[in-house]
Amino acid sequence: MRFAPTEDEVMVEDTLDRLLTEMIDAAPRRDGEPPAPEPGALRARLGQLGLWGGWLPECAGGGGGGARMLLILARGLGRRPVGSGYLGACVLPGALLARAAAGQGAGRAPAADLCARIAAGEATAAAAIFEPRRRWAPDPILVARPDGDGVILTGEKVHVAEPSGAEAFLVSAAEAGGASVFLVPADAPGLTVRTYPAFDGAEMARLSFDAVRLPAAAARLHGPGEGAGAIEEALRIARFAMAAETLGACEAALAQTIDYQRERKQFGRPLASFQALQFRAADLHSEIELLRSVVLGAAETLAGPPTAHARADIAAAAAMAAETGDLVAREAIHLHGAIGMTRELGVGRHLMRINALTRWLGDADHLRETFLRIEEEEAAA
Amino acid sequence: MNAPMKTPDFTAAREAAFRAEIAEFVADSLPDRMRRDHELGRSLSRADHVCWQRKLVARGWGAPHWPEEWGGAGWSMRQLFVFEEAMSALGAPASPAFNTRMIGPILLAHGDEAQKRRFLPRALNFDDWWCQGYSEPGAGSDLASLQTRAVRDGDHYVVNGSKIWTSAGQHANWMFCLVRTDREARAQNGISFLLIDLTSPGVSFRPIRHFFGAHVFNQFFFDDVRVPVENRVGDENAGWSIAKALLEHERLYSSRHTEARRKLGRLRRLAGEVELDGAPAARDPRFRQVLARRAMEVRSLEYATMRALERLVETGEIGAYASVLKLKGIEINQRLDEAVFDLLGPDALPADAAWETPAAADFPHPDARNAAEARYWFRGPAIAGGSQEVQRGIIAKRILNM
Ligand SMILES: Cc1cc2nc3c(=O)[nH]c(=O)nc-3n(C[C@H](O)[C@H](O)[C@H](O)COP(=O)(O)OP(=O)(O)OC[C@H]3O[C@@H](n4cnc5c(N)ncnc54)[C@H](O)[C@@H]3O)c2cc1C
Repeated sequence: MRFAPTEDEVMVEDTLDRLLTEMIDAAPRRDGEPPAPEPGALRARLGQLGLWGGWLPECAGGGGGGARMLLILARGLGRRPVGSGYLGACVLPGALLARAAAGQGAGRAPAADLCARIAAGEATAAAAIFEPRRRWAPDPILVARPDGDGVILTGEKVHVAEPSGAEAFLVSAAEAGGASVFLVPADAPGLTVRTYPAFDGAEMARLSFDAVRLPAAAARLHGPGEGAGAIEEALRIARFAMAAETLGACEAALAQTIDYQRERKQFGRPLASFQALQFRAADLHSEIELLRSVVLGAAETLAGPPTAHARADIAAAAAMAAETGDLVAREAIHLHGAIGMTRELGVGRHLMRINALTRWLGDADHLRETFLRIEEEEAAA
Repeated sequence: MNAPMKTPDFTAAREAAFRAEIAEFVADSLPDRMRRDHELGRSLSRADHVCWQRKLVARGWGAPHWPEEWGGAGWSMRQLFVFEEAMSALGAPASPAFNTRMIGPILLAHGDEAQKRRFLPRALNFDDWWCQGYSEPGAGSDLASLQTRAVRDGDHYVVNGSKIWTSAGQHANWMFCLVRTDREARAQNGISFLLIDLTSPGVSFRPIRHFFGAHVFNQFFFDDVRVPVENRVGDENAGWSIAKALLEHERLYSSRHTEARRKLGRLRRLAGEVELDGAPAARDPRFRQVLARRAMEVRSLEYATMRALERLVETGEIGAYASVLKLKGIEINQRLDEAVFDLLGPDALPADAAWETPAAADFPHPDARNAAEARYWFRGPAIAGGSQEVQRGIIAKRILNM
C-alpha cells in the first residue's frame, strides 16, 4: 500500500495542472465571469495526451492507469471547476462500457469501439440510470420488452449528465431476468431528450422512451443477471471520482481562502493574523486531511477485487466527501467575505459543483446508508 | 402564535380579528404569482415591490412601525409582530428594508424637519428607492476605515470614492452614505452621514453578480459628485453613531424569523410530497427528527424576537442582544434552506431557469423550484450587516464583558 504519489504520478499531476492553467489563461474573457476553456477542446487535449481515458483498461482503449490515474484526473479537475464533464462524459459511461468490452457478450465490440473513442476524447456517451421519484435507486423500472430479435424500451430517465453531444445513451432497463444495460443511439426513433440547466450551470437531461426499438444482440451491453452488478460497479467508480473531485475542490478552496486572508487587511492587519480565523482554517485543513486519507485508501482498494471492504471504503470516501466538501466550500465563501459571493472570483463554483455532484450521484445520507449496509454484509459473511 | 401575550391593548380576541383582517387583505390584494415567487424565495422585481408597497400604504400598513403622523399604524409591539408574522405566513413579501426599516427610522430619529418632510413620504410610497452605501473595497468588517471623501465647497460637499456590495443599487435613486469629512480625526470621529442623489453627475456603477448568476450587488463610483450640505443627516463628523444605530435596526430585522417561518412551511409541504423509501418523508423517522429540530428552532427564534421587541418598547433600545438574534436567525434560516435542499435529493438539481424549459413539464415537485439558489442566496446575510464573526465579537465584548 502506498499513499504518496510516485514520480510518474507527480508528472501527470503537473502536466494536467499546466494544461489547465494554459487553457484557462487562453480562454476568452467575459465580464464578471471566471474564464473557462471550452469543454470539448479541453477533453480533446486531455484525450490526445492520454490523460482523459488514462484510467480505463487497455482492452477498452484506455491507458490502464486504474484508480490512481482516475484519482489524479478527478482531483486535478476538481481544483479547477471549469465544467470539464469528466465524470458524466467519461467516468460513468466509461465504466459501463469498459466492463462490457472486457466481457463475452455481443455488445463487446461496439462497447470497445465507443469506449476507445471516449478515452481518446473524440466522443462522449451519457449514462441514463436514475428515474423520476426514485432518488438514487439503481434498479430500473423502465422496461425492455422482447420484440422479435430485438427489444422495445418504454419509460423515463432523469438527471442524465452531459447529454449534449453524447452519441449514445447507456440505459438501464428491467428485463424478465433482471436489469440490463442497453446502448441507445442518441437519435433513436421514439427517444425524446429534453435538456435543462442544473444550478451549477451544467446541462442535464430527461429522457423519455416511447417504444424505442433496438436490435437486442449488439445493443445489450449487459444482460439480465449482469446489469445490476455493472451498474453498481459503475456507480462505485463514479462515486470514487466524485470523492476525488471533491477533494481537489476542497484543497483549492482552502488554499485560495488562505492566500486571500494573507493579503486582505482589516483593522490594520492581515485577516490571516486573527486567531479565530487561524483556528477555522486549521479545522478545515484537518477535515480535508481525513478526506484525503480515506480517498487515498479507497484508491488502493479500488485497484483490487471488489470485496465488501473495498466497496465500503469507496462509500465512506464519497460520504465524507459529500459532507466535508459542502462544509469547506461554504466556509471558503464565508471567510472571503462579500467577495466570496461573487461569480467573478469563482470560489462559489466549488460549492455549486460539490452540491451538484451529490444531488446527481448520492448525498451524504444515502452514501452513509450504503456504507453501513456493505459493512453489515461484510460482518455477516 | 399559539400563546398570545396578555397586553391590555391587544387581547386574544382582537388578535384573532386582526389576523382575519390581514388574511382578507392578502387574499384580495396579493397576486398569486407574487405570493408563489415569494414562497419559493425568488427575488421580486422592482415593479412588484413598488406595486405591493403601494397597496400596503393605501391600507395604512406601509410602515406600521413608524409614528402615526408619518404614516405609521400606532400599534403595540405585539401587534406589529403579529402583523409581520401573519403577512409572511400568508406569503406576502416584506418590502425592501432600505426605505422603511433603515433610512426611515434614521431620519425619524436624526433628521431635521425639512429632511423628514422631503424624504419620509417618498420613502414610504417608494417614490424613491434607497440603497445603503457603507462598505468599500478596503472597508468591510472594519467599516470605520472607510475612505470615500467629502470635501466642503461652499454649500456643497464634493464626494470622491467608491462604495461596494450595494444591494439592489441598480434599482435605487438615492443612497444613504458614510463619507469621511475629517481625515485627521480618529477613524470613527471623522465620518458623516450623507444622502446622495444617484442621478447626480459623476455617479456611476457596475453590476456584480452572485456566484449563482443573479445580479444582487453593485459597485458605485463617485467622481467629484456635488451633494448639498442640507443632505447631511446629523452634525458633520458625527455620522458614526447614526450609522451604528441604523445597524442595530438592520440586525434586529436580520433575525429573519418570518422568513424562517415561511421556509418551514415549504419544508412541511415538501415532506408530504417527497417519498423516502416508498413513504412520504413526513413519516420517515430520520426526517421527522430534522423537521422537529427546524420547527423548534423557528419557535425559539420567534420568542427571541418578541423579547427584543418587548425590550424595545420598554427601554427604547435593542442593544447587543440584536447580535444574538442575527447570529442565530441566520443559522436557523440556513439550516432550513439546507433541509429543503437535502429533502429534494436529486430533484434539487434543476436551476431556477430550468423551470422555463420543456423539461419542466415533468419535474415532480413545484416547490423544488429555486431551492439551490435560495440556499446560495442565504450565504450572503451571514456576511452582510456585520458578519457572524463581528456579531460574535460584539456578544463577547458587550454582553459577556470578555
Ligand atoms: C449579501 C450581501 C449584501 C450586502 N449589502 C450591502 C449593502 O447594501 N450596502 C453595504 O454598504 N454593504 C453591503 N454588504 C457588505 C457587507 O457589509 C460586508 O461584506 C461586511 O461588512 C463584511 O466585509 P467584507 O466583505 O469586506 O469582509 P472582510 O471584512 O474582509 O472579512 C472577510 C472574512 O473575515 C472575517 N473577519 C474579518 N475580521 C475578522 C476578525 N477580526 N476576526 C474574525 N473574523 C474576521 C469576516 O467575518 C469574513 O468572514 C453586503 C454584503 C453581502 C454579502
